[in-house]
Amino acid sequence: MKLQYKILALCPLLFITQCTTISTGDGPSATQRDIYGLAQEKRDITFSVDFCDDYGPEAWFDKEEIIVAVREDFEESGLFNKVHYSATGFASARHYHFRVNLSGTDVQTRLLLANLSGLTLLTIPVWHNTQLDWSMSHIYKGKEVFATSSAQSASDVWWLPAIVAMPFFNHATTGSRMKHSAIYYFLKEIRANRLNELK
Amino acid sequence: MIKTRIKGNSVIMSVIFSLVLCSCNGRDLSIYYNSEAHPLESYETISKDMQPRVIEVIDFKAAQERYLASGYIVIGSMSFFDTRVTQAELSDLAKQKGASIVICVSAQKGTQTRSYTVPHTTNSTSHTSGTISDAYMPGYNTVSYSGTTTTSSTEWRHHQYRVGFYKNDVIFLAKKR
Repeated sequence: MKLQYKILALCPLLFITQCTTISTGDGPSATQRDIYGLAQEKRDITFSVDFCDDYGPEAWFDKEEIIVAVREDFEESGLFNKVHYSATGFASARHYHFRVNLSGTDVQTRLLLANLSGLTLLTIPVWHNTQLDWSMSHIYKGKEVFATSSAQSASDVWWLPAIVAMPFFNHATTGSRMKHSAIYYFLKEIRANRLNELK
Repeated sequence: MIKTRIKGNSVIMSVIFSLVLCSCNGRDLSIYYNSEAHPLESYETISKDMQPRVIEVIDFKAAQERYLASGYIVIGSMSFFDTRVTQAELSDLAKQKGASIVICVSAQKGTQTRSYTVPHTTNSTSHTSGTISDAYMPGYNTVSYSGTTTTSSTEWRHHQYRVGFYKNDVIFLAKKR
């Protein structure tokens, strides 16, 4: 009976467990501190986002979240005057185009891994990978004058001892870190190459 | 009482099936790689602890010209149709080939429909009860019976999703000596 009660007590934990997510940076990334500083001359810019989802069901984010994150971070950077999203391509003389590609372990394998994890009651560590590839092109007066990319990957871990880390490392928190880290890197590159000062 | 039978074999089979499928690797991009005829001494290969820089661009020719003008040479290229190439895949291949810069452009040419199957287990329980009487038995006995039979069946349901189908053009660059 005692063992049954223990298993019953474990059940809520198993239900709330999605998975613990650990992110690793493959490519260049940055923090908010790297972009601190105000520009002398601020200009209006436009940006567009091309979002490609090869991840399949249960993708970490969608295009709207990317647009919101880019707009917020670009506005808060202090490098630009007004930041407008454009759905129709290169809308101004100073335009930033982002291509975001979300990919990872294919859906069938993910489901089989989830099945395997469930059958073993999370006792053996099972994980799958997600990759976030970002590219940014600066289109100045209709020409691409600068391009850079940032790649990050994350692992979803299904394992009972990893539950303790789940409140701090989950899809929402890790996804947010990955998004902002990539955008900060782009802002750092804009500052370093003085793209915001082009006349 | 009719005993309930649980098929434990299906669980073991699922685990083995999952392990076998999960061991499958991703695509091998090196089959698309075309090497340029440059002697190895003519360019600087990237060291193993360095990370190649992968840059996705819009204007492929302009980016290529920018790097050629700043002392780089093209050591290899590839062009293929598939899902969008990832930076991790290109970075791994660039390390193998010794390239320090990779320039790529991916143009969507359509969509591919992919499918996945999900095991869906259904349990059905049937109750049986009744009496058996035998008029020829001494004492004209009536025997009652009852039982429950649970059968579980696994059905594989197909689901579909779409992914982009791209033309990926890539060049691998290294610094000229």
